[in-house]
Amino acid sequence: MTQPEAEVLRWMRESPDVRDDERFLRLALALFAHQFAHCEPYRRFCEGRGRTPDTIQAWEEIPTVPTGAFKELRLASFPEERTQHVFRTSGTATDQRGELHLESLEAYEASLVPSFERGLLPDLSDELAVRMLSLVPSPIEAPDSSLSHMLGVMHDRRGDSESQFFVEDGELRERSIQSALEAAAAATTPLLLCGTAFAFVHLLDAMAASDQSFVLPASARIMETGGFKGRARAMDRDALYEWITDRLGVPSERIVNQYGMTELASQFYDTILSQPGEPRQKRIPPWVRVRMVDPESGDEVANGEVGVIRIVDLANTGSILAIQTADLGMMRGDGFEVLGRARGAEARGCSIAADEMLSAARS
Amino acid sequence: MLHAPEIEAAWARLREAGRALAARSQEDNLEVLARLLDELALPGSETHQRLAADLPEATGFHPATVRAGLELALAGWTGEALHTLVQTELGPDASRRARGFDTTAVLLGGALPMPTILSLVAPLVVGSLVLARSGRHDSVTARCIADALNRLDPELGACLSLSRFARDEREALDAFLRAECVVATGSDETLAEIAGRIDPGTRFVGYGHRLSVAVIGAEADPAEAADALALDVALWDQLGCLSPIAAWVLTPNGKIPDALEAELVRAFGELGKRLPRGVISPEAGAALAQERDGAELRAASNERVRLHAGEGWTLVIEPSSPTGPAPLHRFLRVHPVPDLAALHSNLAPFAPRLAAVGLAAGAEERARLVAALRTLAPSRIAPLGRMQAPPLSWHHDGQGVLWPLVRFTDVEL
Repeated sequence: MTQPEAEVLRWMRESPDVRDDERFLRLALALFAHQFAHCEPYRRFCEGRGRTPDTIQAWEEIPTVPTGAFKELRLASFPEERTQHVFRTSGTATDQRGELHLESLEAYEASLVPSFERGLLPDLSDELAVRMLSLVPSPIEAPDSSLSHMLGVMHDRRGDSESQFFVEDGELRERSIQSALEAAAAATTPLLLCGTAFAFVHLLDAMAASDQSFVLPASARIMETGGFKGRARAMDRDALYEWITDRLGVPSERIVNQYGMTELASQFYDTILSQPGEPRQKRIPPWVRVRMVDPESGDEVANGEVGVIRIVDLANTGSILAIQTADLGMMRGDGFEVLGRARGAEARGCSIAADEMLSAARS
Repeated sequence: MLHAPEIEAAWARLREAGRALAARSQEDNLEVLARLLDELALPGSETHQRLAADLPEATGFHPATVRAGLELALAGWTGEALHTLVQTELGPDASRRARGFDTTAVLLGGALPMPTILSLVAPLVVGSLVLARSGRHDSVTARCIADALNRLDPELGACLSLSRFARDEREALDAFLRAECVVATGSDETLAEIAGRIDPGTRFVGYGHRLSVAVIGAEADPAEAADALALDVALWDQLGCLSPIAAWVLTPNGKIPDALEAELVRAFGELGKRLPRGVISPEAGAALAQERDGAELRAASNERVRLHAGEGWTLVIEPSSPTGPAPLHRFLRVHPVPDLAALHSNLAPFAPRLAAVGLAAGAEERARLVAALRTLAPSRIAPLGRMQAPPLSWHHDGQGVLWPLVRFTDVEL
């Protein structure tokens, strides 16, 4: 482990709530230098832009790689034979999937735990077990899913003996989850229901079909993540939350959206539970910086203006720490907001993007 | 924005206007509509100028691009072309053999004016009353056509009515769709929704979203091919279904010739200045940035990938095929292919939705290339540089222009 990696780990483990700009800059520049030296495609990319460890003095100047590039190149700063784990973006067998190669899971896990606990369990003591019901495959069933891995770590750390995963062979076990919810409704253990937005739609559809609903305990909370890309059915997030409230009895102020992606080791959670009563926004962990930039010029946009989300994440020790997402967002207070893609908007033209066509051709 | 009762009233007014229409011959109507097209085709005419002036603000396209796009596309859409179309599709005794539906509801979509013009004119040609809803991105074209028609012939002008209602106003939509024929332009999702809301007895003519590609033969002149391709990409900012989303170059050694690459860079650069790209949404900008930066990263590690970009355009020379995402807005990937078999396998995944292939080829290779491309069944194989100027008679989505809008009566006695 390099010295900067060790220091990042120390930061995340020892003082995960402390923001330190000087420390961040120093570590960001050190990690950039390491990744520049050891990731050949990234080094060439940076050189092409005239950005090298010798010319960069601010973390904002570190060249960002687009998330899509993880589908095409191995962006890792260690030799392939030292790869311990690979996370892959979701997709079918014929889709080209993005890959995050990890030499170690240490930084990944050290980053996820404090963010998860602060975002979802801020009112519970560290010793208190939680009933975790997860609408995703277990990490054994889906070892390359970063979401399953993340929830697996948290199940081990905070889950009680009744905590379970409810996706098997790609299918949501609807009856089992409904039985588990029934049991959770009567239990005193705090309940945390986690899943992708699409899995919740699936569950709620099944509940609606059997006209079933629950009133989960007031301490229950929900984490939903992900979008509806590639799914036959999609719905607006407000409508989803309303439906969850209607069928599960969990109010929207106890539903937390998590923004994360395979290419990033850190995740972002709504502050709705950790800062109740304040506007919903994504909290930025101290070892991460987020900027909104104009997609054309790359210039940072003003607070409150829409831009493309760029992230510099020190937990990405073994790959590339500076990422440009395909998502739009807006800085809001100390955090940010992820803007949903406009759904149902009429297209300006009548051409189809090729990826849609290729997807259709594969299906 | 109108609501259901107002839509129903619009239909009632149209039916009233239809009484006068019934007393007229289809030939008279055709003559008026031919004059309308002749006027549109003239760049100096009132309607053409109004379109050129008002479309940029409404649609986001640059004024120069709108002017160039209109001039190129409308030049061939003349009154004479309309007469020929009627003769070709409906025959000499058209009014006896083919009968238009009494009423046609036209759901317009997108920001490109050409499909809108044809969607409004075609049902009128076959004597149908038309109620149209403009899309969010172009409130100008339909209004221009309606006003011009009113000026040329108020009686026929009264047979075309425009409406605006909110997309999620279901009652208004259902009232709007109470027609004998429904014409809709939009995504698969939109078309499926419309098809699901209309009576099974209603004729439904849907024009879905499609894509087009460009092919450059090994013997094509590099400068001419580059100029032509740049124009086809620049017009309507690559958003139309006739805009090439990618280009394939036949090159026996599997490498894009340096001369062609240099000419492409020159042509895209020149056209970027002469016909600047219009405004793009943040979503589109984000998608463009992903693909552009991804190409830059690949190019840094693979000398066969090359990225060229300028003000409002991006050109990526990509050895690998099939293509990745196409963010449009003047982003073009150019792929080399060694032979026709490779070209076919590259294009085959797109075949089900292929609108057009723009072709630049030398005289010797042209027939061979056309034969190979025909197996993919695009609805057009056009000269590169003319992709945005389909003839009036183009079989959009493989359909006739007027056929879907009429009922034929075959008398066998």
